[in-house]
Amino acid sequence: MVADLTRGLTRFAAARLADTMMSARPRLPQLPRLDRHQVLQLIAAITALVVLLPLAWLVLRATGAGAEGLAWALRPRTLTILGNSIVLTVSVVLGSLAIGLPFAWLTARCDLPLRRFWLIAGLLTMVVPSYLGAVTLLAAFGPRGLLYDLLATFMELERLPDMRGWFGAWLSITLITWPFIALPARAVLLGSDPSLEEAARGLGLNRRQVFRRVTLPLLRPALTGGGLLVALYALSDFGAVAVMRYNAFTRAIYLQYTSSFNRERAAILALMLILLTLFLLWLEKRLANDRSGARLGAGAQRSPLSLPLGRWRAPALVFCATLVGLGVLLPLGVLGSWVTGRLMLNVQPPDMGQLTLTTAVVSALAALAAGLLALPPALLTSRRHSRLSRWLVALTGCGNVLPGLVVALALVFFAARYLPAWYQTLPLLLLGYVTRFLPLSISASRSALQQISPRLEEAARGLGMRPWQVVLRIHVPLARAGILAGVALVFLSVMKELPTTLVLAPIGTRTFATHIWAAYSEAMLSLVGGPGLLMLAVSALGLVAILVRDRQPAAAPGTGVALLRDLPRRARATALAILVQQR
Amino acid sequence: MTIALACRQLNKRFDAVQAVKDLSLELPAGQLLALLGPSGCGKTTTLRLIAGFESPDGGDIRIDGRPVAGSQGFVPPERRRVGMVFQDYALFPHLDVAGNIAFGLEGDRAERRRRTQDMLALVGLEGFGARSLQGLSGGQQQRVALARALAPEPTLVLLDEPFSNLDTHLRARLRAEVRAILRATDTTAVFVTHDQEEAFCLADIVAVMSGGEILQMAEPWRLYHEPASREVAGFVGDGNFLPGEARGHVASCALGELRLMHPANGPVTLLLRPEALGLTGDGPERIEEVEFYGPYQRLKLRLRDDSVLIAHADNSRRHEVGEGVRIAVGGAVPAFPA
Repeated sequence: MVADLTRGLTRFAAARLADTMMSARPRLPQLPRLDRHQVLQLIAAITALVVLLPLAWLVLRATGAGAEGLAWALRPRTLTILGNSIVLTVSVVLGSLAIGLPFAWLTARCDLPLRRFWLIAGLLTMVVPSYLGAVTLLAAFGPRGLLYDLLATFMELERLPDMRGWFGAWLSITLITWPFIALPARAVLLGSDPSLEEAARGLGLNRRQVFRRVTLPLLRPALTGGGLLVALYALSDFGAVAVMRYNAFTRAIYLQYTSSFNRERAAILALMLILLTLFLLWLEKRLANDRSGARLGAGAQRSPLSLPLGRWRAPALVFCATLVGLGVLLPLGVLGSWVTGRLMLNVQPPDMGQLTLTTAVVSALAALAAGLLALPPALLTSRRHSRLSRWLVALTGCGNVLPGLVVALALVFFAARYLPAWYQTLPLLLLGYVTRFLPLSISASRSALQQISPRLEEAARGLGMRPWQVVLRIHVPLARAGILAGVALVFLSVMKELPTTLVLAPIGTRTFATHIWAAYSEAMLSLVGGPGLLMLAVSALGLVAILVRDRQPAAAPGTGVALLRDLPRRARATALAILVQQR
Repeated sequence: MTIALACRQLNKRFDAVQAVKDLSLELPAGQLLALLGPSGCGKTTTLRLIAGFESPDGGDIRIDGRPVAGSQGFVPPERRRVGMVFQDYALFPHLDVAGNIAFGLEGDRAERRRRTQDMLALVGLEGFGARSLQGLSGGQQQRVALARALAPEPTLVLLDEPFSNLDTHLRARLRAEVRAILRATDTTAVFVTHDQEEAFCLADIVAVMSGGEILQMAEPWRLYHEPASREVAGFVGDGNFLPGEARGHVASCALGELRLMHPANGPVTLLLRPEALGLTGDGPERIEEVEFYGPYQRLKLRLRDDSVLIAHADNSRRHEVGEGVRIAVGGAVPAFPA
């Protein structure tokens, strides 16, 4: 890898030299030039370096603590944090499975009324950022909450148990993550060959046995893939954990950073969290080769029969309604009540214009930067690619798979030490966003670029275009839809991103996310209403736009839910991850 | 006569496969060269080497006398002044017909416009400029691709299996059209095909390729009548191979004494084209099968020594299975050392 890079650099220098010589004596034959592939590799390498350098520094910082640090890391109190994180992750995965699998079954295989409605309403839960979900849940069911009295009377209790802590965090996150299970599971239930199950029935198995011995094994890759995504989400979530005051890694790291300003300890905790994340990624990689869900042969192209629900219809509807109620209606209702009831409180309403402008400008800048920077890596990996290219782009992905809080902290520590001029500035904030969300942009652009025939590039070269002209005149126009989808996704993600904004935003720069956080911290919940509603509305519109786009056969593929059915499992997982990014 | 394209000792290897091996050729300006061979013979790789989409492992290429690949450096495709027509046409889907044709043009707007109109007229697509590609037939797309390649006035045009995506009927018509267009513009062109008929009726010179090498390069007439080897003979047209014994200008074989095209001695294999076998009256050879193709009858003949020959007989007489005939060989025949 290093050798490849050095060779590339040497050839780059040689090419520069050749260029100067050419201009002096135009008739001189050409020296070997740095080809397009190597130029792209060079750019991708620089990008990966920018993403990784702060993280590497964070790791060095943590390991630099040596034996003392290790002792601190093995302290019972630290280990409790580790335990909390693991408990939360496992319970969220189990909860998502318990909700997602029945939901998938009901919407794919049963005669549930309004199936399409439940599906779309279910998807909408994914656009709610975890901190907003948690804040609204707390506002509804917490002490003095909007629905607290109602529920307490209904359940004939003096007072409800406080939902803060594990339960609250678990509920808020699970309400957002179950579609990660439900969507791929539903795709398998719809897409698998019905004759497999019919054959099993014919061999003497009853419905229950068929499910256990045929359907479940078919579902396994989808469930493990989705489950790992859920686990990654739960492990790296900051918003819900912080709002619910559950002492998992992210909250503990943030507390170390803000209250005690102990960077070394924050770094040690962050390193532990990174290791845990890497373990999950390793697990994902190992399980990704599982192909047991694939169809053998063409099979019948029939849709599976829909199963009559009978007396289970009412419970099934209650189940779906509860999910949609808690996941979508509750946040909307609470936010709405805050907007309308704001006048009761004697607080200064937020300057929505200023807030919206700041959020929009910051998100747009980051989205444009990510869209632009994504092109070289996307071009690099859209064709037959070398191992080096694959690694470079995968390393760039670290910014996205690692918890946002960790990435942001790494950047702030690094900047405070080496780039003091950048500390607390807009460029650093944008760098943080790009580090976080560049991979979304890369995969959206890449899948669009992959649709372009290499012949078209060659045709353009043959007609006298230089490589960069080919990019401008062939790649960009043809992959426009995909590139724009990537830009839109980054925009939506940045708009909702809490930890990065919280840690990196210059003083006085407030986006929707940090505004909501501040309002919550200062117990002025009514101030959450306007920005919260606006944020959800824009996200929902974005989701709908992507869904609609993908319905059109000519649109560039790669990002929407409608396509999930046709994508292989890994790609499906990526598309899902792209769709929802608000940890 | 200037040499438009010269390749010397070209070599290209992909992992374990030697795609092009010691390939040398020279093509005079204004001529049409066909690279003919079965799939995997290295003809498309040769084309891509000339275009600059691949760089050779060894050897060099000159276009119009200018070195473009080899020991004197590598000129990228966009600076070779080579037009390429791809098998699947590779038209740019985001541009209309005129946009595609004008893609490689330089100069001011009016000039590019005029040139585009000229090209549209040349390929018989006047008035199609603003059309999108979706509505075009295969033949029209093919013509757009050709116009696009010719528009920047390249020194050399390369065509990769240009007619393989068209149905048989259209193919014959377009072949004539393309030939006329290339002639009219006095274009030097190289095209790749696996269809012998296509190579013969389009090209001035045909290079037969196998295993990355050129087996023979000659005019179609000569290639057909005087193939350099049995392999070439087998690839261009049907042929009967009959063992014989050569003595100078004649060779004796199952059909008696035959005149040789070139003197030889010792055991040889004689090439007898099916249409060169004339059948006269009653004789000792037996017709074993008759297939009627319309313009001719294809006969399977069993000779006295039990060897089998294929003959194409004209329709002056209707032949029957079981009939006895005498075979007359017209003219001198080529022979290869056995």
